[in-house]
Amino acid sequence: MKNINLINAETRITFIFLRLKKKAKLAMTVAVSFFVILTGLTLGLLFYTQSQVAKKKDQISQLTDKIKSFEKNESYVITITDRVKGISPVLNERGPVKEILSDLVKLSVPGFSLQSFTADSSKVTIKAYCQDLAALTNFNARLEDLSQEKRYRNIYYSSVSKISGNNYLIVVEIEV
Amino acid sequence: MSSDLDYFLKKREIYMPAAVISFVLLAFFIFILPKVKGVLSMRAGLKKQSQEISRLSQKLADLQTLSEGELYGAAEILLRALPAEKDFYQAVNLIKSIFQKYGVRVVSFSLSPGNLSESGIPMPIKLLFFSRLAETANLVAELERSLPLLTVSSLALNNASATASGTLQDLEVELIVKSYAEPLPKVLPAVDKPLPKISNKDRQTIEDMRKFISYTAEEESSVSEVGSVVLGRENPFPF
Repeated sequence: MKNINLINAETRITFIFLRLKKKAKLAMTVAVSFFVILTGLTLGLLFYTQSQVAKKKDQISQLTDKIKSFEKNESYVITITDRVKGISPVLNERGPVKEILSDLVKLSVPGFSLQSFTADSSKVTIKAYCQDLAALTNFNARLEDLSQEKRYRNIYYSSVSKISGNNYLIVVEIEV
Repeated sequence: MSSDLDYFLKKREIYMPAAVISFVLLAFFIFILPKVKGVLSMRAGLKKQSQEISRLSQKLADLQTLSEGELYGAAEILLRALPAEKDFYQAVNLIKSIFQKYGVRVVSFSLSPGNLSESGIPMPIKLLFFSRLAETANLVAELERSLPLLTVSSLALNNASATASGTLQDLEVELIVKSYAEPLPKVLPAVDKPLPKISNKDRQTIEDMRKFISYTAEEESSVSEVGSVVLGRENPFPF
């Protein structure tokens, strides 16, 4: 009986061993196949990517060479944009002195005599004589026309005073 | 002995696959994984390269559309408007040319050029002269539409006779004019840098500058006195 039991156990072990052997063989085959496929794919992808990188590198170098041949144009563009950047604030900074002066010419009615005129970027002061009331009225009419144009923030008489005879001394301030 | 060999041979059929699987795993981590990582990083690099190619192609296309002659003309006029170096002599000569054009004599002028190598700061020039109002208006207008750029920053007119009966014929004019210079850009053309765009506003500025009156060196020299030997630079206001 003992012997029979022993044979059974040995057979069982043999079966287990055979099954294990089969599984191990299968696992090895799968692992090796997987490794081979993966290696093949990786190497294939690696060579393909390397060739793509080289191709793009070549393309970049060709483009770079072409761009370099336009270096002169690029330096002109840099100069142009830089100069415009410098010129724009100069043009924006300009006060309306030119315009005010031409307005002053229009304001110069007969009998109007300029005493002084000061202008900076924010304010203009006109000090003048009007030889009679008619000159003052005419000047005032033109000043009102100018005010109607609304080109200046504020136009006002700082003072009007009658001096010797029919002469009037007027001080007009224009806020720019 | 024979049973030991049998046992080993039997076990080998288990150990061998285990050893091969271990080797495969080891090879995967040592050989394949770094290569896969390499491929992934290369693909990321490819994406960057594609972006660079499209950027460079765009830059090349932009550069190809620009005409060298037009650009040269624009750069030249803008450099004439805003010189790269502070040149007070040129500014004074320009003012002199304009005053001569209007037949106005400058009584006095003063300026402090400061450090000549230091550009970028406007240089004020103070002028004193006698003129009529209409003439002064024209003069100021001309000063502000000449190249190199000048800006009238302040103006004071005084009746020279200073009486109620004074006319507009004799005005004492005190004028402060600013002259400008700005150093050239330090940025050099570089392939990897984007091409600055010339906007419509920039084009408008170029067109505006073309309408300005350019006082060239030849014009300036034609109005300056010739024949006298001077040390250094000629006095632009010899009166």
